[in-house]
Amino acid sequence: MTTGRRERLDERMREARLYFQSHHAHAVPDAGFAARVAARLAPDPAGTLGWAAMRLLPASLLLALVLGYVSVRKASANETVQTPPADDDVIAWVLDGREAGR
Amino acid sequence: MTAGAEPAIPAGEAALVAASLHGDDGAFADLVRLHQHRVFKLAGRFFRNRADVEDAAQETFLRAWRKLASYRSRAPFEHWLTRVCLNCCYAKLKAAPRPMEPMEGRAEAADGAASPLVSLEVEQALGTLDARDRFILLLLDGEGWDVAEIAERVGWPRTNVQVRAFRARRRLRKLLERS
Repeated sequence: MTTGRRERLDERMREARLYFQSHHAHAVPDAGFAARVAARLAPDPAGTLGWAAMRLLPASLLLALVLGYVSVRKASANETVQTPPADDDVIAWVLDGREAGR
Repeated sequence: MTAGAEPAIPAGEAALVAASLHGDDGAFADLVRLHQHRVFKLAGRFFRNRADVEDAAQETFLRAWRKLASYRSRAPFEHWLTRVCLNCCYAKLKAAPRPMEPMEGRAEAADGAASPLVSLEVEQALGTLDARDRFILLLLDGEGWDVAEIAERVGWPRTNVQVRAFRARRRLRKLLERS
């Protein structure tokens, strides 16, 4: 590389460094910047619902188990009331009546 | 008191970080107010347009909010935030690989030192630089950081930064030779 060309390249490299040094927007945040960021922090409604559902999941499962148990107990109690008593004496009485009529 | 005994993070700031970790967005907004100027200054190094700077700064704080659990209070919060900001700016530069905006008001650049000395020819050549090269050259020449400082602040391995810096300088030289 000739001396003149080298000097020109060195000058351009120096200019490039100056360019990078001066490359700055010099922007400053306005008064509402933090509020704008905070507004974007708010979680989306679907996420909130999902989070709430997950937090309530153990309680919901427990409630479902308790309700299931109670309903099963109630159903079996009803069944007990509706079933006629297996009373051998009644059958024997009917049979006796039939025989007496003959 | 020895330097080692000093807390890495001031008590007030530590309380804000702790509250933010518990979902207190008001505390996080206070953290934003504490660090917003620093983040704008750093993001302003990479983008000339105010809207881009604001966008990068917002993204920095949103990412910080999401990843706050990964912050270890042994190191100053601003160091961690600097890393988040640099990575956001790098991602933004890569995502929009457009040439650098021409210098606005070359004669009245804010620091007043460099811009009138930079020829339009060089400026246009630099505008075609790859985003990765721009990023590393802005840190080297713009911020004046060395390889070790860049590696520490961006969170890249030192050899990686060294290689990137070498390649960026070589490509810049070729670009200026051609122009």
